[in-house]
Amino acid sequence: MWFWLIVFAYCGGVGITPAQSVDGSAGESIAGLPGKIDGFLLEELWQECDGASCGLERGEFNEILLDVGTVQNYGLAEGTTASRQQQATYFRALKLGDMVLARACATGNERAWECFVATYRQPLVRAAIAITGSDTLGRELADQLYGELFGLSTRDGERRCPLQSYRGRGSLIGWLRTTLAQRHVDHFRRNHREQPLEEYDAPVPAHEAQRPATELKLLEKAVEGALKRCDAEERFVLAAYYLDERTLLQIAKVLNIHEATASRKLRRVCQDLRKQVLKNLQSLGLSRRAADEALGADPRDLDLNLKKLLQYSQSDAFQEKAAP
Amino acid sequence: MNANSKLDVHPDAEILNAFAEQALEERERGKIVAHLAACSRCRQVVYLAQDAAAEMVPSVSTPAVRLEGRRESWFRSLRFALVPVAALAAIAALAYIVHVQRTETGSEMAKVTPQTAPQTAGSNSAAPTQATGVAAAPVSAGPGQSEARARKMAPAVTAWQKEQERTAATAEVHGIFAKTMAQASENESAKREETDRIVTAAAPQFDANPAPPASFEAGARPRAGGVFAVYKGKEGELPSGLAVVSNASSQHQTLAIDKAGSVFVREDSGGHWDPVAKQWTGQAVAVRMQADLGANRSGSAPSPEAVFELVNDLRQVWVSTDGRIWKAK
Repeated sequence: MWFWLIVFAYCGGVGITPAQSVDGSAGESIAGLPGKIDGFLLEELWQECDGASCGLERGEFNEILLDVGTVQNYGLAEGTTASRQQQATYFRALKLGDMVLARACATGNERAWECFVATYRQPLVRAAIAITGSDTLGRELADQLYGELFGLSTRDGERRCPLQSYRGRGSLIGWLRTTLAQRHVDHFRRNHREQPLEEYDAPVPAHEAQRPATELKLLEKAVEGALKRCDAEERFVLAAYYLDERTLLQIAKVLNIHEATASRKLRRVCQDLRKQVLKNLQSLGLSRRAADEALGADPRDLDLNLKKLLQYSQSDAFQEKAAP
Repeated sequence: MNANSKLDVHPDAEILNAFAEQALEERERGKIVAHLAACSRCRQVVYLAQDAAAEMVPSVSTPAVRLEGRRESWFRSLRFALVPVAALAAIAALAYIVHVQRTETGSEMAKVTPQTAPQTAGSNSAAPTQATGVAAAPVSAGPGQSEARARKMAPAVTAWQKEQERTAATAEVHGIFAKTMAQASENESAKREETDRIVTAAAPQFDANPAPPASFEAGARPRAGGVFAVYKGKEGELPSGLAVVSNASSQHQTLAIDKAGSVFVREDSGGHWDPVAKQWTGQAVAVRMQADLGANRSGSAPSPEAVFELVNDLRQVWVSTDGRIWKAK
């Protein structure tokens, strides 16, 4: 009896089931059945995420994992059957505890909701206040999202809960913050046209061009060409710094780099851009000296929309579906 | 699909949050950065979510699974730092090994004499050089034994010659500055030698020794015929790098013993030190001069022949006329 317990424990520890051979390729060669999760793995995950504390039953937990795993095919390409090892890797990369709680709430489990409210209600309100910058607006935003999460909204007569879209790739509190931010930005952009006109800058007076039109056209082309050569991260740094007027610290946080690194990156991008513009100007027929002089042109003379250019120059746009 | 229509499709909160929490794979992250570069709406969302995260006090309880994840990510972040650290450690270890090997080569050098010394008429026809640890005098060694010894010594001698070449090359690299410094140092050492010449009949630690042999009386006359004996512990530049414990000089040669008991000979005052093969038992502790003036007294022109004496730690004495080939006295 004890012997078999030890053998089972050992097999669980090294990541093989008793049915598998004990060779090095066990994890790769023995694939799990499609649509099924290994029983030992389920047991391990159940123990790890403590689903019982959220009021989940073992059967519900199994269903949630199966649903999540099969929808994304355990992170593998379609048609590939995931082995136990791959299933385990996939689930362990997720915030399983958060995901199980979110799914339990989405299915209307009362104990899960109690757990959710106790854990996330206050952080949700604080995040909303921080995002809106106003206590009133923040509470309003948080209540609105909370109502949605609780499933007050319906679609085609079916109760619809945004928590269903949470797949555990980041933390649940992070997901809530991002959802709040999305709601706030979308709301702001919808009501953008209702802003009073005084907030807009006065239109720039027509500036008499000091340089010949042909030279300016060449410069526009050169800038456009140089921006198109920038990679995604460089374009992001440029957009964040010059269009959004974000600080280097904020940019560094987004890119998960040090502030000094962000600063160096920005400086290097600008230097490279300048070199590229010069190069483009020369390739368009200007001499080196003329190209240098052309760079001294007043930017207001140029008919350039940097925002548009950065958008057009993206090469590999995001293809995923929008949030529901 | 043009750019604007592409921008109508935004990543959902899940993806943006995973991006902000650095939980995306590199490929997916690249896509999001590309989208963010073009989409001000999503940039705003990310900024706001990050600002909110920074302002919030971390009060959310973290389950055990999450803690494990953090531990793993902590290790992952260190994983890449381990590579340069390991490389540095390897370089340090290599440098240490090279240093140790050089030190060993240096100590071997002090024990091996190159085959340069001329043989005296009375000595055996065998090679005068001898490997370390051979206690017998060279005169007692047969030709076959000497050849075997020479074969044994060959790699060590080669190593010593290489070391000499390397030292010479280094001196060349150092250039004029090194030459100037060396000259200055030699001049200084010559001056110091001149002032420090102290003639003693025997070493201080050999006071208990019986009276020195009669032939050693020349030691008491330092200037007689230019032959003098010196016995004084003095710091010097020997190939072993150790301090000189005893030295003696004739007109053309200088002998020195370092702290390790290795004996070195120098032909001229400006020449370099050659190690002398060990041909005596025990450890050499003192070297001194005796002037064999007997032969010269009969001649008209005084041309004293210098005879070196070497004393080991058992107070046994060996003699040599050239400082390279020693006979037990």
